[in-house]
Amino acid sequence: MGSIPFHRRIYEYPAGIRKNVFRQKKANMPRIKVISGFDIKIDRKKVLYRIGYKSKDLQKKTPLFESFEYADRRFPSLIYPAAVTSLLEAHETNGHPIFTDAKKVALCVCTIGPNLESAVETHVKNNELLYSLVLDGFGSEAVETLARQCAAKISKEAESLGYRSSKRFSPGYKKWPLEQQAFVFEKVPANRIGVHLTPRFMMIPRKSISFRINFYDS
Amino acid sequence: MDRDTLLENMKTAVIEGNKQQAEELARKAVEQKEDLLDMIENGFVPGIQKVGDMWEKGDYFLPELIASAEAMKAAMNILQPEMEKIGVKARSTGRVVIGTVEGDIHDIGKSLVSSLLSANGFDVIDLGADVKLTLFIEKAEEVKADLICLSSLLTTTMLGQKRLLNMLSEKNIRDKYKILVGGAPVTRQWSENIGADGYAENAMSAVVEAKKLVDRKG
Ligand code: B12
Repeated sequence: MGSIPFHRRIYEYPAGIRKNVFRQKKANMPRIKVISGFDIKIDRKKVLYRIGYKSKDLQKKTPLFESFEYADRRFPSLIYPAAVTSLLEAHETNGHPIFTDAKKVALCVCTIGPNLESAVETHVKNNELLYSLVLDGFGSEAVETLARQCAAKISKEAESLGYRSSKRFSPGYKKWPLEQQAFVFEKVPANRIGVHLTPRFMMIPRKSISFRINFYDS
Repeated sequence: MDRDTLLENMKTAVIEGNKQQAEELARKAVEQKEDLLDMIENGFVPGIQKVGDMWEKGDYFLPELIASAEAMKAAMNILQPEMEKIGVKARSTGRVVIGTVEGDIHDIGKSLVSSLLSANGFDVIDLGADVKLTLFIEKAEEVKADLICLSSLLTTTMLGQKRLLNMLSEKNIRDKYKILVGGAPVTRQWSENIGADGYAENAMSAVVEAKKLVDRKG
């Protein structure tokens, strides 16, 4: 594998094969973990809801139904879910009010990789708009599910350390401005899973989510 | 197939979102050496107009609109090159430059707007997501656009919409273009505050609004 960058190596394995957890422990350094091997199942109801539908609307033999079948078949081979988390001590945060009273803070960046969005773009170019809409919906749902799973792992870890954990919260949501992505990316080596930040704080690949979870005294 | 049956079937194919049927009918029209402009204006276009009406009445939702847009585009992809061969141009409703404002990667909504505009006879130049403000202006000048459509899903990039309007005024070219803005956090109030010409909440009302603006432009 020699010269292949780390994030590329992860993408070369089908999801589910690498269940490894990489750990890096150094004194006075945030603890960093790269996690892969997630099992992502998509709830059709949620994708339907995204495009303004309810589950009873998904009648067989309609173009919409066919698009869902297509996306269901296609998406598993298009996603490479991976995440990096970084556990900070209270003094290692930047003092933003979003971290108030936290004893520790877990920062996380997760992604399903770039392939699904390329497939969506190809569908748009080929005038397969319904496919593109539904597949994009699957992608958004997949990364949301991934973020939920990461958050659950982090909360479990908080508990095992004797802390109570907060809900997950992302830069760009009201109380934590998007510019704070700079801080998240300073602390989380997201390049390890192939995620980069643009100068205006957007993550590439697009189907990526970043968030923090605070650990409080229970 | 006689002209009237052809036209009627074209209309139905678009209403039903039947892409294959629309393509077959377009090919048939070419084979039969029909007047292709007549086919578009009295066959396919009434179909997409009817779809718009059905949407307004609440009979059609987004997926149906998209399926119809796909059918319309598929037919146009066959007819347009044939018309070019004989030097006839389909009547354009207007020329549009569209994109998601720089600093924002949310673009499926913008792509829908762009697809429905093009299905409704607009000439659409879609610049994609995370588009530099200067590029919107350069492209609009280059292609002599009627309309610039700006999509923003982030409150931070809404400010980009305002900046673009200022840039146009500074260059003394504000009056050359109608500006239509949209995206989840954008409201009519916002569009009025920044002095845009129009706002639409979703892709189909974007088409309605775009038509109004182009008519007003004259
Ligand atoms: C899906 C989604 C995602 C997905 C997919 C993104 C992608 N590009 O693929 C994922 C989960 C990856 C994501 C990530 C993020 N997201 Co996001 N996302 C959304 C969500 C839930 C829906 C957007 C969507 O696709 N809607 C469906 C389409 C069809 O609708 P639409 O875009 O609104 O477009 C329609 C209309 O608005 C209109 N329209 C659109 N454009 C135009 C243009 C014109 C001219 C006109 C007339 C009309 C028009 O017509 C369209 C069709 O009907 C919104 C919440 C929301 N309610 O909008 C948040 C939202 C936009 N995201 C948000 C944020 C903060 C983020 C993150 C920064 C969070 C983070 N730190 O991880 C990241 C950034 C990702 C990155 N790469 O950097 C915030 C933005 C907050 C703000 N106001 O600034 C929102 C509002 C969520 C929230 N609750 O706060 N996101």
